[in-house]
Parts: sequence; structure tokens; C-alpha cells
Amino acid sequence: MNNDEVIIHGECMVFKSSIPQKAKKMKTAAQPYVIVAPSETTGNHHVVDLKPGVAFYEYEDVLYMENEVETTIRCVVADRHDEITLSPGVYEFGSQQEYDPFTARLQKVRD
Amino acid sequence: MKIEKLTKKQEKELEAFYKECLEIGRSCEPINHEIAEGIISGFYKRLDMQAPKFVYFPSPHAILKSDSSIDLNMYFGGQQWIHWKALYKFAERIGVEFSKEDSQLLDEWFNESKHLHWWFPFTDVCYISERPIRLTVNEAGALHNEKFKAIEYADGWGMYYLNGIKVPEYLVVTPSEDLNIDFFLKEKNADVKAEFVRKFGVERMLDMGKKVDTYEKYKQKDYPYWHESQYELWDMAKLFEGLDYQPYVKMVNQTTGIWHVEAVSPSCRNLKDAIKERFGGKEMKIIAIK
Repeated sequence: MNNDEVIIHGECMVFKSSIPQKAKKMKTAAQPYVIVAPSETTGNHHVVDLKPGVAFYEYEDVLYMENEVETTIRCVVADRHDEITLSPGVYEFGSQQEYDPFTARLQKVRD
Repeated sequence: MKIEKLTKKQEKELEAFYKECLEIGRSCEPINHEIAEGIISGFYKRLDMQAPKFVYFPSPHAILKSDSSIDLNMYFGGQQWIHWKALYKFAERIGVEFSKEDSQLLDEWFNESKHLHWWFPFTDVCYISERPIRLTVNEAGALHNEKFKAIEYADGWGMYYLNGIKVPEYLVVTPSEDLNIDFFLKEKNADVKAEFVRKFGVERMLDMGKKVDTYEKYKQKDYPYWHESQYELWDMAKLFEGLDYQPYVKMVNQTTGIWHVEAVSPSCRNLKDAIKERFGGKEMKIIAIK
């Protein structure tokens, strides 16, 4: 994956990145996955599966992942978006934007 | 014994057990109070406590409404939490060994799912919700009803769903031909908007606009995912008073096949501008999309 490439999972964007020096490692030991884009309507969040070799970091409300092994981005219930495999690497997660014609402002896409 | 792979017979058993558990989870049969009270009393006994007084309510909402000190950290889910019990129960069925005590406890919790909906236990009293009177799903098993609440209780409380998306009553009860486009324009949630587009009809909606740009103008080898998502830019200014130009991106969900129509700012004059804006101002090449 190159720096100018992106993986799209619903409104969630996944880029190649690097972990900022000040980023803090997230404590994820007891979790099966990390929510990378929450869903307010259904609870059908976009998540990345945790396994040995997958670590998450947080800095200024942005999530980063370093995975030494393949993992997947998927929805909790896979009826809205099929899963995508994420090869070993360092990734950053973001959200697509949409425009509100009434307020004339850009905002994160919400689902 | 470590089980690496299911036998054909076990796969069939799993299929049947899954179906059985799904039926329990979706059951709208009235609760047998005598059996329900026996199960809960058993849990109290395990804690050396006397059986509580049982009080029944028509819905979980009615329980929460009855006492402001009750919250959602205080309940057990009965049939709606059958998933974790089913996992351990099936493991036991195919040979995973539990201690006698754990096995007995698992049976009790499996029965709890079989015979109860939500229940809120306290020292002297236990509030029990009756099951819903309606729970309907679509072919994919997601909550769905095109006329009524997809889940409804005897007191009328419930929720409207279309294809697993919780939507306002208006979107369900209003016939397609009577839907007002203002609902779409004001709705903030992408999934609810997509359900509106599905019901309203994407062609009917775009009849009110004018195509500005299309994936067909871009080479498939350079923009394969624009072609897969069938990206188009449409000017929908006609829907807004006082606006000369208001672009929307039309695209198809790769998994469900449903259409999304989402606004971008008037500075977007073509698809390149629009996709760049959606990606936070970064010009990026899509390498996978679902």
C-alpha cells in the first residue's frame, strides 16, 4: 500500500501511516476487536479484529494500528459491508466527510 | 481434547442447533411465569437468598419507566443473550468437557434464555418483562418491517427498522409515493438516508436533478473502484430554495447493492473534486472498497 492509497469500509477510511511519537498504546487485552468507526444507528460498528501481533495506538483522537500479522476490518454484523483483509503494516483510521447544505459545513459521515 | 475441525455430522448438528437458538432468540411466545420464576429462584438460591417477589411488565421500557433508579446495567437479557450460552452449550455437545458444576450452571443459564426475556433482579423483588408481541426480520435476518414496528411490545412500545437500520416511524408508515424529499434533505444519518433512497427510488430522486459527472468518463484501468461503485455527481439544487448548484455523489454499496446519495460542497465541480473532499481534502486512490 502506498501513501496515496486508501481502503474504504463504509464511511471508514484506512491509510498507510506511521505511529506518532507521542501516541499512546491502547490497552486492548480483554477485547476481541477495536471499534474504528462507531455506528450510532445500529451498533453495527466498523471494527478491526484483535489478535497477537495487532496493536492499537491513539493520538489526538486518531486511531493507529501496527499489525505484524494479517487482520480484518469488518462490521460487527456483516450485513452492511463485507470484510477486508489488512496486510501487515502501520495504518491510520479516518472517516469520510459529507456536506450539510443547510449549515454549509463539512462533517463526518454518520451511520 | 482439542477440536480442530467439525465432522460433517457436527456441522449438521450445528446448523440445527443454530436454528433452534435463533428461534429462541426471536420467540414472541408468552412467558410461562411458573417456569420463569423457578429459574430465577434457582439463581437466588445459589446466592443463599430467598426467592424475590416477582412483578411483571409489558416491556423493558415499562420497567425502566416505573423506577428512575433502574438502569441498563441492571438487567439480564434472557432470550436476547442466548448467543454466548449457545457457544458453550454447543462446545459441550461436541465433546468439550466442563466440570459437573459448570455444566449444571450452563444448563440453568441456557434455560434462562429459553424461558425469559429481560429481567431485573433486586434483593426482594424481581422485575420481569414479557416478550415482544411482534419481531420481524428480512431475508438476511435483520430487523425489518415495512408497515409496522419491527419489534413491538404489548404496551405499544417498540422500534421501527428497515433492513436492520433503526428509522423514524415516518419512513416506515408513509407509502413510497407519499414520501417527502425534505425528509432526505434534513436527515443526518447516512444509513437512514440510504433506506430513504431505497424506498423512494433512486431514479425518481435523480429525476429532480441533473447529472454533472460520471465514472463512465474515467478510464476503468485508472479508476476501477469508481466504476465498481458507479460514482456519479448530480446537481440537486432544484430541491433547495435559493441555491444555484448543490452537488450530490451517487454511489452503490458494494455489499448490499443499495444506493447512497450524499452531498458534497458546491466547490466540487466534478467527481475528482467530490471524492477528494470526501477523503478530507486528500487526493487518494482507492485500492479496496466494501
